[in-house]
Amino acid sequence: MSGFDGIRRVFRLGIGGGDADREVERELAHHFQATMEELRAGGMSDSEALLEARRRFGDEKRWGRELKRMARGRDRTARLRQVVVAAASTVREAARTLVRAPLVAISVVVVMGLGLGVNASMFGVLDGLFLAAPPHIESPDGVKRVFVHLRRQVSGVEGINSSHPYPDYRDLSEMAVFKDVAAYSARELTVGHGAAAVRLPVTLATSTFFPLLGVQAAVGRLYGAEDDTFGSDPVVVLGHGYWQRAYGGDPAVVGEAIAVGDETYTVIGVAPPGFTGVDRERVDAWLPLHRAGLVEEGGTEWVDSRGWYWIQAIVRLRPDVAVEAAEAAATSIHRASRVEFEGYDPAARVELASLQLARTGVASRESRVVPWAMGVALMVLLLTCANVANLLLARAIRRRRETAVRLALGVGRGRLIATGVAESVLLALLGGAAAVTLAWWGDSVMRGVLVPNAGWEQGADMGRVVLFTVALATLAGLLTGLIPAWRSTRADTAATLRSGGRGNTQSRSMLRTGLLMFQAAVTVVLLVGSGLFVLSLRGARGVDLGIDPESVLLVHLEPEGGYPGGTAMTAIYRRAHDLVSAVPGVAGTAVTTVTPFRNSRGIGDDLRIPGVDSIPVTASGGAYIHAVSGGYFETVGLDLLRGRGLSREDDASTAPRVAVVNRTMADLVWPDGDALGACLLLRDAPCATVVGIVENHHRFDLDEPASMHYYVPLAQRPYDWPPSRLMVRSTAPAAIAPAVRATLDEGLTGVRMITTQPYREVMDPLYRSWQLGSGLFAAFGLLALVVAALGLYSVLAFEVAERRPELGVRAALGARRSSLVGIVLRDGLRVAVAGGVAGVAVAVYGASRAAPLLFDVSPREPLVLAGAIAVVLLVAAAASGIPAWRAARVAPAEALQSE
Amino acid sequence: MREGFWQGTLDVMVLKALAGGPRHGYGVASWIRTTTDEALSLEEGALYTALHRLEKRGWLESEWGVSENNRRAKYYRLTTAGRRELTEGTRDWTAYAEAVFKVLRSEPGEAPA
Repeated sequence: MSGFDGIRRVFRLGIGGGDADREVERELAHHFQATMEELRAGGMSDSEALLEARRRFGDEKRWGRELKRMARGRDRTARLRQVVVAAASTVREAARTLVRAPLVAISVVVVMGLGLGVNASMFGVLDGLFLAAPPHIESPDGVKRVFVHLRRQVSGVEGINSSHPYPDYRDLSEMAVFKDVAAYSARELTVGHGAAAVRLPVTLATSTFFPLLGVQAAVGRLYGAEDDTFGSDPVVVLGHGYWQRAYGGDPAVVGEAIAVGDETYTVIGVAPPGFTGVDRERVDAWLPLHRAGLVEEGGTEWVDSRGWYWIQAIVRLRPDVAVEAAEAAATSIHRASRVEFEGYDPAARVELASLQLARTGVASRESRVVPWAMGVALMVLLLTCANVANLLLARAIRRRRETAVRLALGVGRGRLIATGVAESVLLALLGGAAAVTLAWWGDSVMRGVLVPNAGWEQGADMGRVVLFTVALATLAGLLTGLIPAWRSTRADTAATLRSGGRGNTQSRSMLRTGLLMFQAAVTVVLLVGSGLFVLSLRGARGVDLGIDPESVLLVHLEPEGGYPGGTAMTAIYRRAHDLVSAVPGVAGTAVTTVTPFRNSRGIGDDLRIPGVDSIPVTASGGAYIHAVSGGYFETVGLDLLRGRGLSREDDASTAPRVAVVNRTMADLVWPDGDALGACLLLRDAPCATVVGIVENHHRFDLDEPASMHYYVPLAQRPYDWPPSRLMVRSTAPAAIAPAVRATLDEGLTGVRMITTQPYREVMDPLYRSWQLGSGLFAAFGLLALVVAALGLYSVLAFEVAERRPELGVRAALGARRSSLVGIVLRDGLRVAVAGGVAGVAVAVYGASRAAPLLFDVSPREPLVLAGAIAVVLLVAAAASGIPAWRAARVAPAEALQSE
Repeated sequence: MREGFWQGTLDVMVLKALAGGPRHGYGVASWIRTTTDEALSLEEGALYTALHRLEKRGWLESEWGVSENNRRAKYYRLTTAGRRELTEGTRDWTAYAEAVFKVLRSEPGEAPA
């Protein structure tokens, strides 16, 4: 064996890792070599020398490996130190450059701050609704909501039940496939007495609720199974926020007595801060579920009744059980419980849905807008990035002489790019800091605007928002910095130096124009979105609801001392009716058992119509019954079509039995004949004669199938229902509310609490999603417009400055001022048109995807598209105006002199 | 005695071997063999582990060069810190050796001097 290779092979001590290993091998190879030479010089043969040398080296594998390990470690440390030092110096250099040119730096930070700010805010909302679980829940992935998918009995429409009867919860809690099962029901209850009485959000929950979620009390204890039975001592757990507000955070609150409804409860503990159960609404107190009968009508029937759907159920799965298996098991139990219920959908199935409501099938319309809004916010960020990229590009071009010199002197291109990118990342991070401040400050505004019905107490998790913003800012910085840095260092060094730093101004065209076009496109998309939502809102508000909520004030009365029964409640409401009629400004009053958009009632088979074998049903269900006092239609604003309405005289149990039907019912039940004079049989009562037909009204939503309604006098109602509301008609409902309350306070007895609410407030949530959409898009659109306009202006201004000699030559050669202006204007408008057209194409595509969010508006609405382009063109013309004007004023002589 | 007396006499000998100028690993081994008149012969594993360890501690620095027979070899050299260590180590080791020598040279039963 001879030669270097042989020796090297001996020292291949294991499969090495790179340079460090090779070094060790070489070092040892040399030693081996020298040893062999010494031995040979001493007279040994080659083979003998090899053997001896090998012997001396001993167990080289073992210590050789150790050496390599040490070498590799040292290598790593050295390289790391190098990287850190290089990075630190790059950052320092970047900071220095920025400080030298503060104007550019500040404008970039501001623009980035705005773009990142809207994203940070939107992320806060998105996170809260879709990503993060409500606070204080252990292992939220294992907690599921119980929903039932079924075809509704009456209307045949597919629907989802998120509420269940209590016996269904009992069935679930007996199933072995769940680790824990709990039920809850959120209410608004009166807490306190007399003048200090307030209505607060209170949730009834089973004793299994807290252990299921893994929640611990902040003070005292949470109630257990022994507290959640009939006949146990009444106990209550306070919400943390309420404890702070009402008791100043005093730990001595445990043992205090507090009135909820008509019972006095003992406070046994306080929930942890920010705990709101599994929903995001504020909860001020927690009561054991078995208190349900005492705080609401219903006594103890709810325990066994499968007709009253009022409980929300949550489960925690066993870790070894798959969701599908649990769902299948629950479904079979559910179906078994409904076997005797005629007409109940045999294909009903149980779904174990995500804890985050926004991700389930019952997500509110507003929460469905949020992901779109996030997408839009990202688009705005892209726009600001394009803008900043242009700014940086312009600056890089201005510094091209400096760059060329540095390149010529041998500064690595990679190094220059790294510096450029470091600058923009630094700026982006500063913008990110501004963004987080903006988001933190605007968090409550965002929540109020975006998801007001979510009553989100805690607000966005700022920690996650900060992480998100830092990541996004770094990405944005990389994106905006890379392109200009890459481009500017690509310059033909020699040519640049020779031409005195002028370079080729035509080569800018592609990139800069592209970025400007992109900004124009994004702006158009946002403006189109805004227009479509504004039109949707207008369309939504234009829908005739049938009733006239703008002129109605709703009054709700809560009796003192437990529910006294329907008859007693009606008497109270009638008294209130008489009292309020005398209040100045009141045009009419009426008592009703059903308030459209709040509740509905049907009596099913208890309604029979002689001559009609089966009463038709609509997609909206069967016929809905309203029991009302005289003058109801005038008060609520329902138009009478034929016959007469219901008067005071009709409203007596001794008066002839009458009824009024709505148009849909008249058309469907009596298509050939005449509804007037027809007979309605309610329960066992004699015929109620139809004396009038009124116009339809919407039952609970803007966009719903037609429904059948019929109206009977309050005194002739088939069941002893309590009234729902007293309706008060006035030209200014909100204004007369204090007077109404005062009158009732004085004149009514047996009433614990009087609440008034303008009827239109009940309707407001209907329009919220379009208000939201148009607000967001308009705000973003305006932001985009301003940023893009500034971008266009700065690029054009920069170019005019660069082209001064060229323009000077043109002027010297006799070009008219207007043609110089024309050059610049044409430039600006060309960009706007090209970008605008691209934007329109994107907008049309996007709108067709978002069509379900719109109301009665075509995604291709020409008015909106044309309007958006027009706005962009106008703004582009304005932005080009100043540079164009400057171009016109170029004096040939001085322009050429600056050469 | 200085605290932290380093392990083994090997380290101090390696440092001494380099006191006169840079050497490669083989050179250090040869020098020690020669200087001790063949009494001490270092095992290659121990030697190179010591060299790498001393370099990691910052008492030696290394550089690739060309050896006397025109081969690439890794040369080690004392750093300033290494020189300091050598001085202190020498003092410590000498004191230690003298103490041991006194004990071993004394007559059994003799009272301490």
